Amino acid sequence: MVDALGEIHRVLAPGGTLVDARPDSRVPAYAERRRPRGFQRFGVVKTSRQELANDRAADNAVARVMREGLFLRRRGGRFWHLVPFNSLAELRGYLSEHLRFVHRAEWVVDSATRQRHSNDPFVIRRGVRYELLEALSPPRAK
Amino acid sequence: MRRKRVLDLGCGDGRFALGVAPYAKRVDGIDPDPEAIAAAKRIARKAGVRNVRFAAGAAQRLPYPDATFDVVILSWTL
Repeated sequence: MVDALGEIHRVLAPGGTLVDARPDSRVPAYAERRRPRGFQRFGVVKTSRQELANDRAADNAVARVMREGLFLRRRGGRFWHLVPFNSLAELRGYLSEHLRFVHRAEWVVDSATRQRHSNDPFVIRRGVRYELLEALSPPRAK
Repeated sequence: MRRKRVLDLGCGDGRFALGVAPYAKRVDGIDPDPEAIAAAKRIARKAGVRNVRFAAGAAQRLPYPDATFDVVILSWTL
């Protein structure tokens, strides 16, 4: 990752911008039922151990290239990304195949509620972290 | 993005690159998956987008000269 960031720095003009957006596993994802107004939380979806390690490696790589003076953080934050599903079964199917998340949600509603709303629209709400990094001129060799 | 030279790194089928293209001066998309790149080229051709180029390649060795771009986008790539 550090190699890739070094290459990005090379192809960016000084003062150019790196826009980085990636899943934020520091917050859990949620399975939610879509209501006419708003959402009802049905469960928590944890990130797989492998992906947590990958996310940490990405965080460390970005921190390192900033320490090395290649980039300067201009802005950063988090927004929520919603992945839509037509039913609870569709959401479960997504979780069973998706490598990022553990394959089952931890439900916070009882099974009768899940059964009652199983054909409602659902979303997985997950955090996305973004950063705008400015490419600095490479540090001069002493 | 307006009138900028943009690189979409890990562009997949080019959805993001093609979305940025109307505003940018030029957009390059690169992805290690040749099938995704073929799909991106097909979609760009069909849409008649002329300021976008796609290529297969790895982020660790980018086939561009120094200081080619004003903006690099990493979306779900790191």
